[in-house]
Amino acid sequence: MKLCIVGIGGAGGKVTQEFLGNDDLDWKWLSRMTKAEYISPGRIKGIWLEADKNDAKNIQSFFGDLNEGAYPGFFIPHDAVQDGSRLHVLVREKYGYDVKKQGFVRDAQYLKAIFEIFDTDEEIQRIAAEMTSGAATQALSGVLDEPKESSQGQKVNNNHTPFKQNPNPIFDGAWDVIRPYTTLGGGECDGILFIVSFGGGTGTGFINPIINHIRNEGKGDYPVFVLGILTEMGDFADRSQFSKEGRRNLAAISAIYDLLTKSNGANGVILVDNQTMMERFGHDYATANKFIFEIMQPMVAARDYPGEVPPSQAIAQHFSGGLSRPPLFVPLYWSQARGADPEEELVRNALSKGKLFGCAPDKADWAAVFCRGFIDSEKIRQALSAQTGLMPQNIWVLRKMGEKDDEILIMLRNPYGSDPEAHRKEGTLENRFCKVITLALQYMNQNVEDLFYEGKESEKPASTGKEESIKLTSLAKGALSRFFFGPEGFIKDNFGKNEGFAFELREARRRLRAGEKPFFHYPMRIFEKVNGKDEGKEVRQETLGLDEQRIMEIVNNRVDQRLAEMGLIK
Amino acid sequence: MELLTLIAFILAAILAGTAVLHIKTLNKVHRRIEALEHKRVSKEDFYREMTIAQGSNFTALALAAWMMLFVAIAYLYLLVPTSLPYSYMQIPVVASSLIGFFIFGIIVAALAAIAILALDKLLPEHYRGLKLTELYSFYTLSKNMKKFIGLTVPALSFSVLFSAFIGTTYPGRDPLAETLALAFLVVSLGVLVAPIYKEAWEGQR
Repeated sequence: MKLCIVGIGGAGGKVTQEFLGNDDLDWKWLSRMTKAEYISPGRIKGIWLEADKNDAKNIQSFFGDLNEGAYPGFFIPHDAVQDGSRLHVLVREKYGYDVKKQGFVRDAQYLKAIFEIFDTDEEIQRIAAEMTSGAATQALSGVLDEPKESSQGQKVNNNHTPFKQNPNPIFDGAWDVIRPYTTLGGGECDGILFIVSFGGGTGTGFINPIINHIRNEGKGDYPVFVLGILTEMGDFADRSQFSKEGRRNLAAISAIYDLLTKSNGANGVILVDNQTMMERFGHDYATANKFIFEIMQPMVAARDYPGEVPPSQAIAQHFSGGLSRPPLFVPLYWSQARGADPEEELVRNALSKGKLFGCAPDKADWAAVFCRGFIDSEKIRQALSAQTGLMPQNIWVLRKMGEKDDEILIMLRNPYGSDPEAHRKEGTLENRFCKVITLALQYMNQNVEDLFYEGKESEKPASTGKEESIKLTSLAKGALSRFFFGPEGFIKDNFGKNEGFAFELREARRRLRAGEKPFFHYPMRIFEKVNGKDEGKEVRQETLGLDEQRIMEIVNNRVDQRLAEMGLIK
Repeated sequence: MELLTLIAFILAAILAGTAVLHIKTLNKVHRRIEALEHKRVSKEDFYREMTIAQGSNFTALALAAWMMLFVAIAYLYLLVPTSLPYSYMQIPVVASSLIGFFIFGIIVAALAAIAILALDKLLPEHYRGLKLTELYSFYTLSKNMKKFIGLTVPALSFSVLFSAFIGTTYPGRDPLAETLALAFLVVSLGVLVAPIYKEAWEGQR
């Protein structure tokens, strides 16, 4: 497993920085002589995608400008669209969205809408194709043909060249800078780990469109994981993020919703709660970022046990195997001084003191355990099975030789559900998500004008010094209103009763309270496709997949219950 | 026995101890991995997974440091016949040359390089553990440790310079120069072998 780490947004970039430190001596005079390669732990490669050019160029010094050949580098995706270009002007005039907008307003819906505009609007697709190179124009001709499946399951057009989706300079540009690090572009990385903050600006908005973009490129089986840090409760983060608690929670839940409902999305969404991090580290974000790097080492570092070197593809298949939706993972981490027979203690401490997101370990349906040190995988399996009730065959252990301590990172898959009281208990996933959804719904109710960016001017001016403001057109407003509240639109204190995102959030909260799993069901779009695929049919197909998954879960639960009654498992 | 001679034996013992500990550590880890995997693991597979890239800047400096170490030892002990019965002074052709010290240093460095490269090229994969070029790739080194190892190159250069000074003033003796040459040498050796001793110490837990 060799990952390309892609940090998105401010927080994502800071965590990514920890992964991309140079292991070699970075003495410039020597590097010139030896032509030294930049070596990061685990031979990881990566980049930082950022929306705020000023932050990227002037506030930090770790990442250089990728356009100037720097490594590690940052990339500003919306730079791909020229200021005042036909495309820039057309999107603004037709929809009101400014595709070059930097900073605060990049909430989940903002970039989702832009992605879907490029995905659905043929006029914009045509201009985007004209503006890009000949290759892109050629690609557009591929778009006009209905894609088919190749013998390897890859989407191809009628000329049997890899299927290229509708040109979208923003996401094409971002993917073009990521791809060379991956095996898809001749690089060494056999998977991508996106690191984002759920609730921030850029990361929250960018994560789903970029994954959709990768998948739509015909890279349906390329391993993609997301490590997301959910925004904390309270108002502390507001000062730095220029965003109120409710707004951050709405952005977070929107991003997570999209991630967990796309059947061909990420292979796993790893959640870390910033609330937990703050309880450990206070407001020391630098130490918290280092800690996130440390906890991921058992998964991403080098020195695997011989014969236990899974490619990312295998990990992705195990992570999402048998599920029709991307699974949610809660990491539990513990490290202790090297000692004899550490397995049981490691598992016990990880379960009791190492949770990085509230959860009920006994509700998990599967677990991947990444260890470092001299660890017996069978003992780990037995210990975890005994302490959580997970069947040993549902525990996958991978080991690395490690450094001075014994470490364990348990990734529990979907560790929630089947407890109607769980949402009342602090420290459960249901409780945390119910709070996030409630805050998001309250925000929608009290700040409906914000959802349409009305009367909103940037608190964070663009680097050009120009005042930024967004005035959505009636076309975009209508689409957004339908997306949020369904056809009936917003009704103060009584919205989202039948359809729309607000309705789905209420439904999700109801499912969480009822102990149902999963709690998000249907993928949602702001702009529906006029031609092409039947969205409704897709949803119905996905619903069918969901039913199968639900049936599998019920069967598994019944089998577990029966085995427990027979005394064969705990 | 003179102090310098006594220290020569200690240096030799440290170097021999390093080799023994390095091999013992690798074998011990290999045995533990085999026991934990409940199967035979070939040395080739084991070494392939255990080694990590430390970076070409560091590797270049580490190799230069080891070559400089052998040059510094040769300069301190073989330039003048103070500690050992054999010395550079017994080879009149080189000893009387204007660039004799330089030639002597180059010869020692070349011999060290040949030995290191020979080990690197001739040893089969299952003896990778014996290759000096890959010595540090078996260990986890902090950035500071790498910097210290890199800094042994100038430190050993100082040792060589002081030894050259001793050679120039021979048969006169300068205790300060001898002490400084020895100190730079001992400290550098200590830094170069520290990761191996540290790992062996931690591996006892």
